[in-house]
Amino acid sequence: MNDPYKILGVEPTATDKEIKTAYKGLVRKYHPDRFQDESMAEMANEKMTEINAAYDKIMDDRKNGRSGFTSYTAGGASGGYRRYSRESYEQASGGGAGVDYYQIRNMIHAGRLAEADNMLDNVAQPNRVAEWYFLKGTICYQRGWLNEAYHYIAQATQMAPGNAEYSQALQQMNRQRGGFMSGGSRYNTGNSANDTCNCLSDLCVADCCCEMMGGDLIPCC
Amino acid sequence: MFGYVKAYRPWLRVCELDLYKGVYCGLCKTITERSGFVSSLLLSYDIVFLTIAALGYDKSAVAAEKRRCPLHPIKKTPCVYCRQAGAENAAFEYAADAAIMLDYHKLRDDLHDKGFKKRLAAAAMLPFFAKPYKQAAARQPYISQQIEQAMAFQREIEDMNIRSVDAAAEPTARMMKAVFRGVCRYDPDDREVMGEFGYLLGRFVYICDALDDLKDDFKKRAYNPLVTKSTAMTTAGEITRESFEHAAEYARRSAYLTLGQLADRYVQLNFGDMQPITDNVVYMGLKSSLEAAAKFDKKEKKDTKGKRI
Repeated sequence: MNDPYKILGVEPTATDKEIKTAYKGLVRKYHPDRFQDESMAEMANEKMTEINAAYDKIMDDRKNGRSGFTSYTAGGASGGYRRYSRESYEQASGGGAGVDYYQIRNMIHAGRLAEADNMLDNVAQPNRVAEWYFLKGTICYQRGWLNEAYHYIAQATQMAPGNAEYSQALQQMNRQRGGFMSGGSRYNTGNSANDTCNCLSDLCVADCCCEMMGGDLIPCC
Repeated sequence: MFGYVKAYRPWLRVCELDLYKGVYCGLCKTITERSGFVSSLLLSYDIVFLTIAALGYDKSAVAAEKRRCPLHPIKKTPCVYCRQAGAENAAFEYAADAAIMLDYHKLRDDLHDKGFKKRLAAAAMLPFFAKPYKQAAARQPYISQQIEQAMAFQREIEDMNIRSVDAAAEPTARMMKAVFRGVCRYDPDDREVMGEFGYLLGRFVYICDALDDLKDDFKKRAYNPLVTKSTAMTTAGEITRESFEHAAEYARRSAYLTLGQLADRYVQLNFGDMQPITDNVVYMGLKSSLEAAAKFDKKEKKDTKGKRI
């Protein structure tokens, strides 16, 4: 393939954001929907294939082993860990026995998963504290290796039962393991339909029915 | 492909079911026109879901016309197509390409299968796929490359007899990731979310498939990540019911966790008019397929299919 940077018309030193802007501009220009003429639309389509390939290539290269998920904290997904300052972090995690977990955490946050994973693997077994298991689980989680993620996070919670961050992540995963799916409450997937909202609306309806018959179930309304 | 990604029909409205079937018909027509009749035989509802997701995401206006086809020679059936001029039928054409590429690799994979019947069927079908595959791969170079890599990876994992469901599901998941990413060709942000959605869907499909095949694989001593050291054997060399139930419970927890994550991505995407159908597939159809796969007997499986969970 030709130089992907040339195709997008950016310098190889451009930031991710600049590349995305350039890419979006090209998409607007060559979107096949803009062309009424069939042969023109086809040419635009070919151009788009080339642009997409170039964009993907650059992004893949830049991630460099960052094969994981990007929108990890988006959408209220679990495990969205907090960002600490270094001091409060060391207080919270109780120090890392000579391992710089703060740095590893930041690496994970920046999406440098392979590097972070490597650093964790270099920690000898006896030095692996709860934080080690939690971070390992977080990396697996971001890669989509959910069974291992669950295993590690459960281990972390067991080792540090008082840590709210760990137990919150575990709780969310346990809910999903029980069949919970966000946005699916209408379909009664796993979580029961008898939630507060339904219960209240049922009461209102019952009250209306009673009133229609001349009685009153809830006297105040 | 696998046939686990489908709607839970009793909960589809009649108009939705018509559309759902019509998209299958339109897709079948697209494949037949482009790649020949034989290629359309392997079409499954998984690809219909892909098409519906693409139609919904693109906000395409669709229409139906009644047509006759080799599968319905007597009664005309409604066949759905895109109404827009210009980027005509982009969703159908994309899905048709994806179907051909996935089927081709599935057939190549079947050539290594232990069952004689499967190998024979694959060998008979494969020549009809060679040319369409080349054409589709030329149109979608990124996806075909990703699928090829995933298939090589899959064989490696099977040869090394890896016992981790996470690792075993990775190739299928990556394959589906590539395919679903292609739906959002023009939006870099949605593309990542859609890619993750595809990854998780592929992972779910793999777990279902592994569970569905567990009994047969165990009998044939074929690779299956759900077989562990503690899996017990009956005198006939089959898996015991107890071991199966145990594996099924493990698979169910893994699959539910995957679905939970999948839903987190799903709610970030907008499928326009197709939302009722995609909702049905995501929130009901998938679980229904899983429950059917988790049954021990073939008869039980059949009875569970299409049952509410």
